[in-house]
Amino acid sequence: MVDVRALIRRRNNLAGNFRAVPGLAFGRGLVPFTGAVEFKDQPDAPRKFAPHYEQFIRPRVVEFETSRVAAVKSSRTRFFFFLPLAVLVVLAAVALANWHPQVGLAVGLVGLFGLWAWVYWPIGSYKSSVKEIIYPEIFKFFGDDYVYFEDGPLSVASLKPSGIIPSYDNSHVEDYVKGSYKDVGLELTEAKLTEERGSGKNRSTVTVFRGIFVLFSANKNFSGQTIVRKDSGRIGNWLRDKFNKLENVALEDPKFEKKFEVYSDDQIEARYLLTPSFMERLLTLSDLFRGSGVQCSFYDNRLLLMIASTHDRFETGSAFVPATFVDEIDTILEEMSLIFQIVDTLKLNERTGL
Amino acid sequence: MSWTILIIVLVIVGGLYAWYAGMIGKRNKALEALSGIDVQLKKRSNLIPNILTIAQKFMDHEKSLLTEITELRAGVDKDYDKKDAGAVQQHLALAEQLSSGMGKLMIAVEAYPDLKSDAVMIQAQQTYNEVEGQIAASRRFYNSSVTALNNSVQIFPGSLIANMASIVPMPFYEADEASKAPVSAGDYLK
Repeated sequence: MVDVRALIRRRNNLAGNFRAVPGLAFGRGLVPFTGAVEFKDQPDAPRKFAPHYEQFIRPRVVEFETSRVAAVKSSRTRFFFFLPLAVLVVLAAVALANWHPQVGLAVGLVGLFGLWAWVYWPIGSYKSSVKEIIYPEIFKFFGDDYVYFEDGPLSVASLKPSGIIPSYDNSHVEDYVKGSYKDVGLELTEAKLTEERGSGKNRSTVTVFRGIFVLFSANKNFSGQTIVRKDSGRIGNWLRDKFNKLENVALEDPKFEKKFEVYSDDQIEARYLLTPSFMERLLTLSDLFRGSGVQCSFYDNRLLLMIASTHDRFETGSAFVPATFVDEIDTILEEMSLIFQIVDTLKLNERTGL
Repeated sequence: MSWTILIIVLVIVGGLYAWYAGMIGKRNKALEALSGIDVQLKKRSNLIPNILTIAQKFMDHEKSLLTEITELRAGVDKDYDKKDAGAVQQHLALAEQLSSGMGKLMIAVEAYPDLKSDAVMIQAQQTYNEVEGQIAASRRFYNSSVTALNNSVQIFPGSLIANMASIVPMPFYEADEASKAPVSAGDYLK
């Protein structure tokens, strides 16, 4: 059976990576690597990554380095075919444009895009195999319960009951991680939500959310729903109140009230969850993700954090550098440290009631 | 001219009615919040006999504290008139004194290692902390509702309407003087 999501993912990878052009043109990255490696372990990490690397990653380096060099060579060969073929496509597009401009433009764009996809295919496949085989090994460093999938089982539709998912038509999720930290279960995925707006010629696709969803198991029992949204100003909040089935919760902290609006179906439970200390911690978290919108929802005994960000997380390193996976590992160590900081900042592992 | 006066009168009457309706809504909200507190106080009240039963087995020198807690619990459990501000204030003050007494008991437990490590006591303390968290949340909701009610009752022309409709400000649920004072752990760890 054809895995449609994998095909779409591969197409996205292919379309997006035009940064490969200099490497392909000048033959960079064709020399296999044999030297030593170092990692940017987080300062407060309980153990170093190096022993894990030697045990689980190093044995696969030679195999992946061989396939990387083969992929770069193959893409490079295709790149030199690409140049004359691209000229032919452009000439054909210009000829067609004389007959029908829109057809000419469409043929030109589809042709060039298709050609580039063909050139980049070997590198794209290599990168996918890194995510499929190496990433799960890297994530095992954080615990045996960790799993990683390039396309995760966490769908945006399943998060809708949280009440903080904006209205959208299409969703694309990738980089799913599941595990636990200090006995707090966590699941996270990157997501992009888009919505079709307008009609006819004015129809356009608007990104309504891009960032990460992080789902934590909660340390408190609760039955209702409480959501914390970005403050939308007086008029925005008033309009939201009017169309919200949940009731607005006025909290005591003016700094918190300035940044967030809280809605709940249980006024007491909302205050039980959002204690003065927890409000302080949410403000700290919001500073940690400076410039990003942090929103959250307590529902079904879980806490969902929705963090807006344009930063592409958990991406593979360049195919034009040796397959040591140091870049990938450093990125993952850094990203996961940030996720663990959320647990620490919000003290999700404590049952203190504070 | 007469139409203008009629419209002005209608606007004023409409405004006063809206204010009155808002005041009733806020009072009902405060009463709802007060009921929320009572639900949690009842939970705590049901939990206290279990804690006292375990504590009595180990604590020989805290008899007066245990007696005080038993008496305060009986006081908090008594019925009271929710619309009488004085009765509400007295009820909340007793609840706060009980809270303070339980706080002292929990600190005193530290001086009895056998009691502190007793599995039933550990479980009871965890449940107690959970209920205290719920009481704190109910108190915040109540105080927030009382602030809204009192503002509308005490600010003109609310004060006039409140007088006519016999709506009175409600008391806040405040920490008692004993719990505001600094605690010396040494007093309980002798």
